[in-house]
Amino acid sequence: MKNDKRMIFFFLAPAVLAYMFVSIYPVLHSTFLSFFEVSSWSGSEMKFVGLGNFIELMQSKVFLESFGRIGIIWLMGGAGIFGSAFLFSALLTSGIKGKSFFRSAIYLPNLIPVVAAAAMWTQYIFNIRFGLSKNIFSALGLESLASLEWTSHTFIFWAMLIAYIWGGIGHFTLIILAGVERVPRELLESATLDGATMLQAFFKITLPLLRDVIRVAVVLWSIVVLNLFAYPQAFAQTYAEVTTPAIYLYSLAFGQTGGGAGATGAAGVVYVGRAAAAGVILTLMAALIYGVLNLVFKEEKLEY
Amino acid sequence: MSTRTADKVKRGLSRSVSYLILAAWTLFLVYSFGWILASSVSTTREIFTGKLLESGVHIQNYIKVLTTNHLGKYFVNSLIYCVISCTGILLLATPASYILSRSNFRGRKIVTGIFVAGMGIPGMMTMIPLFMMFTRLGLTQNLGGLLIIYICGGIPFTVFFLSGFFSSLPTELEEAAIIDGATPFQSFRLIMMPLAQGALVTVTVFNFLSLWADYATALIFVNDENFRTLQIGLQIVIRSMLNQGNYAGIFAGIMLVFLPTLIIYIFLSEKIVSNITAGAIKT
Repeated sequence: MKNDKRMIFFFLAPAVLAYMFVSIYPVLHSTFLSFFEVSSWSGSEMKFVGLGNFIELMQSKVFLESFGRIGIIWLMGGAGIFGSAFLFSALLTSGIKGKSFFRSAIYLPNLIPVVAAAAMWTQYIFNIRFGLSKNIFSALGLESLASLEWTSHTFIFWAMLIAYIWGGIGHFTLIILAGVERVPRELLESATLDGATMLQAFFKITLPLLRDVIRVAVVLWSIVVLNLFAYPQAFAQTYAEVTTPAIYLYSLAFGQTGGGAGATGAAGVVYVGRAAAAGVILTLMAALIYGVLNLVFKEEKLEY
Repeated sequence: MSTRTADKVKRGLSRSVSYLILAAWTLFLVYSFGWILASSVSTTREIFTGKLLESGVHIQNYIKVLTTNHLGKYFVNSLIYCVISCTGILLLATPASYILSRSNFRGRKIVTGIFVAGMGIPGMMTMIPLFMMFTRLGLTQNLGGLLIIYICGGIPFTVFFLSGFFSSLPTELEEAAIIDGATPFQSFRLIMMPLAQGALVTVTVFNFLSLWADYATALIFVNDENFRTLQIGLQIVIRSMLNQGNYAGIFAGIMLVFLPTLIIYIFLSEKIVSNITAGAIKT
């Protein structure tokens, strides 16, 4: 049908082209820019430097340390988020009352706009004068914890990590929960009849059947952490202690003042080419992570 | 017998622990929001002395952040961004998702591949060439730049969501329409669109919530304070209020940003949560 072909084109092309404009095109152009020194946003001053930007980045302590930092976030934040997600999934499927209410409550922090969430934690929860953490620890008689300056340079990273875990638990709980709910009831029931405890049933039956779901969740978590920007940036813009690779890229390209200060010239020097090179490195790492994780969790069709 | 009683006790105990953990999580949320809400209508002195609401409700805090600190203007800006973007996304994504769910054409895999691969690209990297282009075109001084990115960027999620929905509809309806002499376009517009209304609303709720909360893109692409979004506005307001030591104002600002999300969530949490759960299974 001729009509059909035309319709396919006119229905599909606008969406595909529009999306390519904000995905494929920027990747290609960034890759091109990464081989140049670009010191203004008008793009008029460009100097070919070969791999110069990449070499500079590899020698930049801030850039390398930022990867160590997201490594810690991946590991410890991952432990916190996945641990909580499994715990909540187990609790929610144990036949408790009010399941859908609690499920909604667990997901809610994910929807709080990041600036509001960051302000809630830095200005209220961790406030040294009237904060919730101070009041709770005082009530428990833990004075050293009550007087801890969470938002000081020493502890801001950990404060941010706690808030970030809290903000991410909901989404991963829903993913794990979706997997847990697909595990056939009869399997678990027969195991409990045979004398297995709830915990044994969870580790011996539910967990192995969740392989594919866990693979998806781990890939998602890794990519999210690799590109982590909004939470630490909103939490403590000016603190070097929370700089991630994406924040470093941002400060190279736009200066730390934000709001596209590079264009107005207010921030002074911008390193557009080097920022693009950092973007290329992040893209390559995302591909690498995806490949490695797919090797670790080899896809196996489990029938149940 | 005794083992059975022990089992019962154990089960009862683990049940209580379950409720305790879930209640603690919920209590933390409710208490924090309650405290911030109460602080947002108290004075800063009351916040520091722990006597919230002692001198009654101070709505002035909200009036001040809305007018003097311009959060009212930013609030309207964010609404405009969200409404235009959500509409634009639907206009582009709905026809595309219909085709992806119905026609088997050459290049179908490539199209899906583009959408999937794009989601793994670091967002911050894509902003560099786009910012360069938009700076040259003057699109960072008005609504244009941010709208283009919001609309284009929202396409993949919306396409996956809607094509999942279209696939679940029986094809007999359109076939019957075509036999009756309708063109494929007519059958799409007159038969499929009315059926899709619920799905369009659901996906728009998702798009709205994520655009409302957007931080990084707005931080970079809006240069002019007349077009600033609420999130960026709040960040700036918080910074200036910290300098003045106006904590009541900070908490009023937080509530203002969070309330639209909370209201939507109170009415639609069941739908939102179950759709994310359904999406998790498909991936």
